[in-house]
Amino acid sequence: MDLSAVLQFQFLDAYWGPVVATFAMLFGAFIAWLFLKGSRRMAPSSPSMEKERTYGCGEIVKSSETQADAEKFYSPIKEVFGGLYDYIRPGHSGRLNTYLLWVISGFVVIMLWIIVQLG
Amino acid sequence: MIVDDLTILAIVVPLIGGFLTPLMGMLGRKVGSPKVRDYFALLVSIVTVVFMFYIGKAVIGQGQMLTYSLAGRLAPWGINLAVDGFAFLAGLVGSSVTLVAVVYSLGFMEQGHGLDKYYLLLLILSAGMIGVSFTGDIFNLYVFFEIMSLTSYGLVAYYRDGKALEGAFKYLVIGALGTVAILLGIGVLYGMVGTLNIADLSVRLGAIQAASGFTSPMMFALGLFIAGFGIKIGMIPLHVWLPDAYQAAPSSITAAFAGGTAVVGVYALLRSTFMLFGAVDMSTIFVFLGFVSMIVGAFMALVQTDLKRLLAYSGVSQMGYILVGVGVGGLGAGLIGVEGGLFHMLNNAIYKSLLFLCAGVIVYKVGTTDMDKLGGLSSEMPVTTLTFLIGALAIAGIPFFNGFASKLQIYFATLQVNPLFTIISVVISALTLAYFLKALGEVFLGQPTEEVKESIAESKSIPKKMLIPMVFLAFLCVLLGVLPQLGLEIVEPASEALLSRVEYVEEVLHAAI
Repeated sequence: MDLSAVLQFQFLDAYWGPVVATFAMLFGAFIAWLFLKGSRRMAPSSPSMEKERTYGCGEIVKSSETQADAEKFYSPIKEVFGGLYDYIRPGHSGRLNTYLLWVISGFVVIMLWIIVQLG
Repeated sequence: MIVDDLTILAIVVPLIGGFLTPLMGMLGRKVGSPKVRDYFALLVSIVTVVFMFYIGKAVIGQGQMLTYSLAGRLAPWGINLAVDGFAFLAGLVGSSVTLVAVVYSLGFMEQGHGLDKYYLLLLILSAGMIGVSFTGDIFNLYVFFEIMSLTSYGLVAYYRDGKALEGAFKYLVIGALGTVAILLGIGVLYGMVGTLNIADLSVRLGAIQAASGFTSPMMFALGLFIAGFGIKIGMIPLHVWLPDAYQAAPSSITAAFAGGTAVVGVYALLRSTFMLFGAVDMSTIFVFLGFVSMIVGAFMALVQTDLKRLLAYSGVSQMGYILVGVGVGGLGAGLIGVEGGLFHMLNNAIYKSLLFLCAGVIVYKVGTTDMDKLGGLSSEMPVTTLTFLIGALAIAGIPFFNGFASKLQIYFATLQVNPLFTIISVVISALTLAYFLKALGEVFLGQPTEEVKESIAESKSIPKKMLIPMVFLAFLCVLLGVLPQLGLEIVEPASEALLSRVEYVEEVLHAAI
């Protein structure tokens, strides 16, 4: 293996220099860390019990209640693409005969595509 | 011994090693050391990867194509193995993923039952994967593919509870449909030209194509191959078995499926279609099915509440990127598209295995992958959190990580064909990041519930044997992100081999002259 080729600085005909980009990003992260460190020196954090607890409208919330519901996590996206989900979710019901229907219909789609493209 | 002999040894060693594993188990129990079996399986996996190293030195380092004729009968009359850059890439991934799974299993399956059968099936799965990759005979490819599939059904059913048996049964029924389709396709081609050697088939089918165009039996066989292999790689709309099987199987096995059998399935699909039917004709259908898989997989992953199901659907989506990359290669993007697709196949094997191994650690510590029951694991499992984060950023295509390098190639390739393709690919990458941020938030951030705290307190500490493969894979995600050229050293010969139909035929049939 040619080590010089492996360690070259350019990728994709020089559109992307991964090594340079990595060092640039690490340098950026270092600068950000310096800012954070400096700001904490100027205004040290002093977490009180109130600050550390989780509040919801002024009430202390149990840790289990702070967990977002995995089903509703992206509910706006589900609402926007409701039509797509209405179409694809019933097909993932777990019933084997539905699954077999998917496979057979998949085969038919592939065959039709081949006939249209190559026939 | 010449290096060509290693190609058959790379198949035979895990095959025989697999059958010897139960004997090692019996022997170990007799002498009071049942771990002998586990370390024997580890030794077999290491030896196989060492063989791959030497095969790689010849194929990648020296640009050779290795051929081996079984029982001295030369191709096309006898069965032969033919290992070019593409076959090597698939074989390397298959054997390496098996090694990772075995090392991880030393810790993960410590308390498991029936481990004689577990390691037997895992090693034969490895032999099947390497066999599919290395064979130069289409019927042998089917046989090895069937070996790979049958062992997979057994491994999915490993836990023998309702979910495992249901997942395995669904996989068996749908997988059997796939393998029957492949066998039928082979039968059609054999009926047409009377040969099973891939190189010879390529020559004879090419002659028919030149004389009479793409005939109806050829179209039928092509459809059967795409459907048959498409089932194994979880290409939509043939993916339905995948989430159930991935959720039910032990995580070490799911990692081997996501990283190994899926890659070998892609190999079989591309090798058979490109070699037998020509590259350009396939491109539009791969792009079409790739985008459908990419989009539907991402949208389904977005709404999952179980981590392993989310990972399964994300695998379907990533398979779409691979198909799109390879497809646009034939639509005008050229080598950069094929390279991007195959590089993404390699990268996907790495981070997808990593993510499933992380899910396994969560099962080991907490006993569930239901995201609604998890949370706040970062403080208890810092290494798993970090490796999962790396895997998630890699799959989402964030710079620094390997997924970015291959996705960037695919973006460039799609841009040369149709900018709309690039926009869709980028948007789906953003969706990938969105559902992995959800997984990170649900599983690792926030406060752990009382149940989670209790489960963690009652469980044993995570064995180093489980963490080492995860850290290694995470390291590879970063290494190939910072130095993508390292991955391209393997991927470039693979891409060239995939497109070099004539060179493959000359190399294989030249041995017969």
